[in-house]
Amino acid sequence: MQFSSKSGWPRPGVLQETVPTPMNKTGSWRFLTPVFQESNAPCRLACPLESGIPHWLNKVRQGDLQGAWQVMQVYNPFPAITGQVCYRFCEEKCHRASWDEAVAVREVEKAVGLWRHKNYRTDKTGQNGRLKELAGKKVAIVGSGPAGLSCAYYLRQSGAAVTIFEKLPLAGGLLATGIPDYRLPRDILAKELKILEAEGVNFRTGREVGQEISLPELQAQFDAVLLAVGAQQSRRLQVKGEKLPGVSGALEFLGDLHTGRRKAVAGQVVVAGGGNAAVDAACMAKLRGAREVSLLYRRSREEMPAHPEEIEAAAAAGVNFVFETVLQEICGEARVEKVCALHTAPSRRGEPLQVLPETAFELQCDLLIVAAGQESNLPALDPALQNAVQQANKKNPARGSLNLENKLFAAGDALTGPASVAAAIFGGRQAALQLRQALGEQPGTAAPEPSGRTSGFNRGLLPPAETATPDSAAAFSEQFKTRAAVYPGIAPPLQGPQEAIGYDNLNAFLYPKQGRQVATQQEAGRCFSCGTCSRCGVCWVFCPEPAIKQEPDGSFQILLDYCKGCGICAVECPAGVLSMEEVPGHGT
Amino acid sequence: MLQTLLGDFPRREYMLNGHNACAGCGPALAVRYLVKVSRQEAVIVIPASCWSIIAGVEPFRSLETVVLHCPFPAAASVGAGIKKGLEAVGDTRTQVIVLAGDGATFDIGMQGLSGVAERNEDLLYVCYDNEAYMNTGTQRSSASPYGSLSTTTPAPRAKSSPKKEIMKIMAAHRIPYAATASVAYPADLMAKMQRAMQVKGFRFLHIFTPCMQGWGSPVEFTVRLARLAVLTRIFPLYEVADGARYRISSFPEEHIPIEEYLQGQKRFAGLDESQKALLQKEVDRNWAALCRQADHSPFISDD
Amino acid sequence: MGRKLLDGNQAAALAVKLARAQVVCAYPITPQTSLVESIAGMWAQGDFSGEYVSVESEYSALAYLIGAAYAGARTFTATSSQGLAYMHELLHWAAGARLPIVMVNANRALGAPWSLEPDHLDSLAQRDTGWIQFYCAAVQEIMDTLLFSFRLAEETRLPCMVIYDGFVLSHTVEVVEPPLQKQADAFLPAPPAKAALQTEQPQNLQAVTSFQYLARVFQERHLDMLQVPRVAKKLTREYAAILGRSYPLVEACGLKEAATVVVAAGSAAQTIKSVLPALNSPEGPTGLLRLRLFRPLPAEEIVSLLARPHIQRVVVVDRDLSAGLGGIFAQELRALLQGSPFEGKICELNLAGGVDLTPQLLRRGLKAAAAGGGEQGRIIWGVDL
Repeated sequence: MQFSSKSGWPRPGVLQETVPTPMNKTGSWRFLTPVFQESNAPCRLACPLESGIPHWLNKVRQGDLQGAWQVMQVYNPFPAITGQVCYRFCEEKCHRASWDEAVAVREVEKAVGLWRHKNYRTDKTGQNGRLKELAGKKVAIVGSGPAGLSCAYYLRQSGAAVTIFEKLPLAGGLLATGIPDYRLPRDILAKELKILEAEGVNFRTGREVGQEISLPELQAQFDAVLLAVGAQQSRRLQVKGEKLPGVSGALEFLGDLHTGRRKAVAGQVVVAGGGNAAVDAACMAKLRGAREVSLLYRRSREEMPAHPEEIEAAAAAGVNFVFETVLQEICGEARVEKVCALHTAPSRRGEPLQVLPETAFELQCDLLIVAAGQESNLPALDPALQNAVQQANKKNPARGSLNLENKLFAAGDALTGPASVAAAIFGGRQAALQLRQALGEQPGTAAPEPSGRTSGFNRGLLPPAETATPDSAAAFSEQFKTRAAVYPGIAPPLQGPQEAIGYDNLNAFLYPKQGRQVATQQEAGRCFSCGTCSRCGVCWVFCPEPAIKQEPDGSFQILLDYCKGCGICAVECPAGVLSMEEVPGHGT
Repeated sequence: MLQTLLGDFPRREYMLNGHNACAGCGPALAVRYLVKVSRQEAVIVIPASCWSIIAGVEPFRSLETVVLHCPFPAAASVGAGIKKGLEAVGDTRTQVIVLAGDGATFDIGMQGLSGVAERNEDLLYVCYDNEAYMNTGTQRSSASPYGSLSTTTPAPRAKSSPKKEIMKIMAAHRIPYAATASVAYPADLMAKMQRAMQVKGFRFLHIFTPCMQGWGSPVEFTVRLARLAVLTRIFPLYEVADGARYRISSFPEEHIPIEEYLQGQKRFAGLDESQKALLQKEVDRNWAALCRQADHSPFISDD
Repeated sequence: MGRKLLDGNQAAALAVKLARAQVVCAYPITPQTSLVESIAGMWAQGDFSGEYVSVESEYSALAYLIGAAYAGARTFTATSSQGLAYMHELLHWAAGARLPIVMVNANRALGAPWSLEPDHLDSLAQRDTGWIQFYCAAVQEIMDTLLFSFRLAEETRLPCMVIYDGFVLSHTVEVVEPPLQKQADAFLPAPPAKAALQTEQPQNLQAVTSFQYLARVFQERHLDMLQVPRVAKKLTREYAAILGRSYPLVEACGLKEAATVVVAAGSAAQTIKSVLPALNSPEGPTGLLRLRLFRPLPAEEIVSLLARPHIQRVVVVDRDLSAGLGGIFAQELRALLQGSPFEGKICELNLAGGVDLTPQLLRRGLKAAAAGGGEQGRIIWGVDL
């Protein structure tokens, strides 16, 4: 007995065909549309290397140190070094600092660098053969400091034959001679140099350009020459007695200690100056045996140009700081015996200094270290270069590096004056970019230019577009879809106005307040990924439709056919890369 | 599984898009998480509620499992009956989940709910609580909080009685497992769902699912308000085993005043300072009591 | 099994056992209580193969069975009076969902005020819920009809209500001959051991519909309901072949010469039947038409049975009252016989409130009817006679 319906309609209560709801294109309800727009994280803006910090932190969070290194090296080939010596400009600006504590970016960076050191196979010959546009080109780099090394790294990545000329018997420049070894253990530098050698960089140490070989000779023998000679010419104090034995420039003093020319320090040491070199020298003197070290600085502690981290280290080492004091005279017969000093009235940096004449006092002194700043080594190499730099700067202001005439380039402290290791590495990276361009880079192999249309997870590698308002749903969808990962060999510099986003939308659940973590991976996970899509999936997790879909490549796509425009994703996105906008033609 | 900041999330969706929920729907979000856990292993019973609509109007369906609709007060009994019926025909594997709103749970379905709880029927009862009859346009229920406005408690006569303490009622039935959860804490919600799926007997999940249309807040704040409800402790997250042993799932670190949660919700527009203070006092008292409970009779889990 | 002395409730309980109902869920209410107790007793002793669940209300009892029936289980419940009224919403739901639930209702008057009298309004008030309704007149019939109903409900996918007068039948012991289990099994095969709900096959059952669907659902239920007499007759033949007993949908007694036909349902009809030979009204011999099946109303059978020229008058005995209209059986007959020679001649003897139909009262009623007291819609009140 069949009781099937005469009408042909399915009977309720018995199995029947239903229609899945995706037939309903509920996206037509929408009158606001999520728009994807990345912006620069504050850490990246603060970083002299303009490093895509949220990106490689995200890789570390996922436990992918190989991937982290791949992202890292686009910006910075020496994270083991910067992980030791960088002054953490990023951490100063970290949004997380006002939530609980800044992410320990430098520690994570160091971990990435040490991972690279551990996993780099020195028996490997050549390179990975990714970009070979400079194959057959020969480049000479004068100076083996961070700028020169960085440029060498990137040029080797591009296939150029690189020779580094270093006047000292040991390579590394300031990294070897200037930075105290307690800040940069020399085995780390040695490993870094070893890797570069394994990558095929040709080091010619003990070869001073201008002595053994002239600059014009270099220019004749090589397709291009980079001058990365640094800024180690100590300025003079212009006080009486400066020529006495027992008076040394800070960098000379540090260099002597690190190269072994000076074995130990003894007696009473006075350091004059308030920069990093002064503090480093004072600290090293104390650590190497000085009975007492006094550092004289003409203004207050707050005004000291040295990084607070350095000052703290020196104080901890027992350096005696004497603030608001200037040297008046250096006294002694055969060598320095004492110094006369005066106090100054409190003043800010940049203001004229007012000396208080009644306050003169004397200090015993066996060694006076003068750290009144350094100047570029370029003029010493060739006085004409000063002019060339000025000319080139006029044509195209320097950003870390300059293309002078005649296949001559300059980068790093030599160009900018004393800065930071990070800035020098940036200079070398920039020089490599310019060299690549100048030496006939093939179009199409360049780093992708930033564009408002291509957007997604990897966009943070590149400068953000100033405006990226999609004009149609399809364009948006395309925009949100992530491109295949394209890591250019060398990151181009940031361009145009950049704005660091706020973090109002922070999800306290995702980021419980906590102090710094011990484990690297956990620490990296504390990053808010400001302005940068980290593919965390929070948008997808909180979509009630769900109208967000993850592609097999890990990127996310908003299904505008179903997105009702509620905006939860924009509120919850911890990176703030989504916002709700009225888009003409969407919904009603 | 998808690695997110929230942990591992099952990637596959068992709730289909194109459903009829309003934009920013809290209950839709809750069920999306729930069915990621229950997958195709459960029959879902829905009494009259928002989900009567969201599950699809004939001939549509938005869930990838068997959904059964039933009269408003009948959900608990129908669900228990399905389970018993399935067992009778030899299916001991399929679970039954009741998916009821606060009206069907706190109000009209209370008798049947109490019945199945007392009999300890093998049933997972999920109450998605949006604190009023939202499907019919915001009429008060006994889950509506003190001081809230609705079309049946219109200004200036806001609801004068406090929210019914459903968890205490369920705990008093000594059911094997009861827990509160929130759409703002999906990992927690799904973990509790997982635990509930593994327990035999009557299980009760009370899920906080904001309704921005009914509460008078911007639709994008569904998750934010749900989170604030937990952080301000007006809706604490906890579990109760056998009606006696308590475990608090998350201890809000700071004491965020209830004001943070109330502001921006039009339904609380009528509250004056003294009423807010009263509400705060109530919240503090409840939290303290919950903490005492958790201290004195800790939850012992076998996981 | 042999013959047994059983009351209506015990007979019903036995039928449920023989039917191998899988889920029985009920809430006790006088006069149904002993039925539930019987099943609970068998269940506790392990004599009942199904599950017995004692719930907290009639509402939940039927809700529970709706769930169990969805799952594919054979289900049974029993109630009475207020309990049936409390189930009302779910009666509609069960029928709308086409769930073959079987239930017993022992008639009892609805309050207020409280009463235990066997008024029929409790079940008649549910006539529009889409349930098949059988009114039984004897204990043996209760047992047979109940067993029969499971098969009928499952074949038509319509829920079925077996109704008998509270106390008069529920608590009156009669000699019955219960079927053997193998006979019962031969008529009513065990339900398939397969869940009707398969979660891998997504469904959205009883979702919100628009009128396009709903109109079809209603129309179809009506058309299927109209098939019930045909199916029931077929099943009756099967039942008779196996068990040697059969019951017509409409029982006729003494219609061959009757001038007056009394139409009645339930135990009242049994009383009438027993005194029929001595019941000659002033107008001549009296016959009986017992409505056993009330929903669907077996219109064809009633009309053809009454289509005899010697029948002058129809007297409908109603133990119910739709206030403002009259007895429900009488109204149904009046509507059915509109345009027939009986139009305007259908008398109503109303026993609402459970007035006991004694032979004396019946005679007085027939006399009043012969005097025209019940014509033109007027009611002959049993309580006034």
